Amino acid sequence: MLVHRKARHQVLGLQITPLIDVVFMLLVFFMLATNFARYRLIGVESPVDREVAKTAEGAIVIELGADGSLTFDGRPARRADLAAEVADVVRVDPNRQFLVRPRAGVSLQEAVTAHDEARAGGARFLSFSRSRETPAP
Amino acid sequence: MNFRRPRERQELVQLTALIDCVFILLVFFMLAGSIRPTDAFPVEVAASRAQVFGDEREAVILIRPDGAVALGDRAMTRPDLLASIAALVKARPDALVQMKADGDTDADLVIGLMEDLREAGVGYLVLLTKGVGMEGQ
Repeated sequence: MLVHRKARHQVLGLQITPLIDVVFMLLVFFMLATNFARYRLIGVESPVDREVAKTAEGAIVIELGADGSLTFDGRPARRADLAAEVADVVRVDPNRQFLVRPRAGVSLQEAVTAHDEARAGGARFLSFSRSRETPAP
Repeated sequence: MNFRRPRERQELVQLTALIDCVFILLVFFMLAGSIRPTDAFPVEVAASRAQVFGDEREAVILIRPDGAVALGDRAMTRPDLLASIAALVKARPDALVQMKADGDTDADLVIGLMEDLREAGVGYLVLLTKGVGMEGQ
């Protein structure tokens, strides 16, 4: 008489199904929550209590108009020529300070683009400035 | 005559290779990325060609085109924001404050806030931008 006919099946492998479930969940979590994008940083030197404020008289003001106009040191210029204008000045005076001064209605993107152009022209001392300030004579 | 020995039945799918891949992906996402902090509201930052790269730190100020501001995941009024930042820089004078402003924001508004932050005692202030032509961040 065979009493233990239904002998238990021998478990050959480790039960890894829950492990795979957990690992998959962790994987999905990290895939969704992970951020690979890196920002580009623009150091802000607002001329309130910086050295540039003390010598703002010597700074060249790049004033941006809401209509796309630009004045470079008081005279009208094209935005496309900004880098060249800055380069002309920097060639003579590498330590010249520049202020990007957007008028009301100018978007931050336009101001950042002008900042980029001035930097591309070789400006080393560059900062933003508010339009309420009257340009230095 | 059948000389072939009957093949053993494979009852389980071979998961070892899959688990290996999943583990490698898991480790990659855990090590290579950083967990994205939650923002109070979505912001599409301006694009620039700045050559300094970095991640978000503890003090990230968000600015929306309508002028709304937030500190990380907390939307707050501008005086509250300045008070919070002043308390932060008082506790840690070397704290890096980052501004994550929408590219469509009025530049004058952002620069005004920069100056207010300077007056609040912020020493290290940077503007977060994304690479030109990049989607998302």
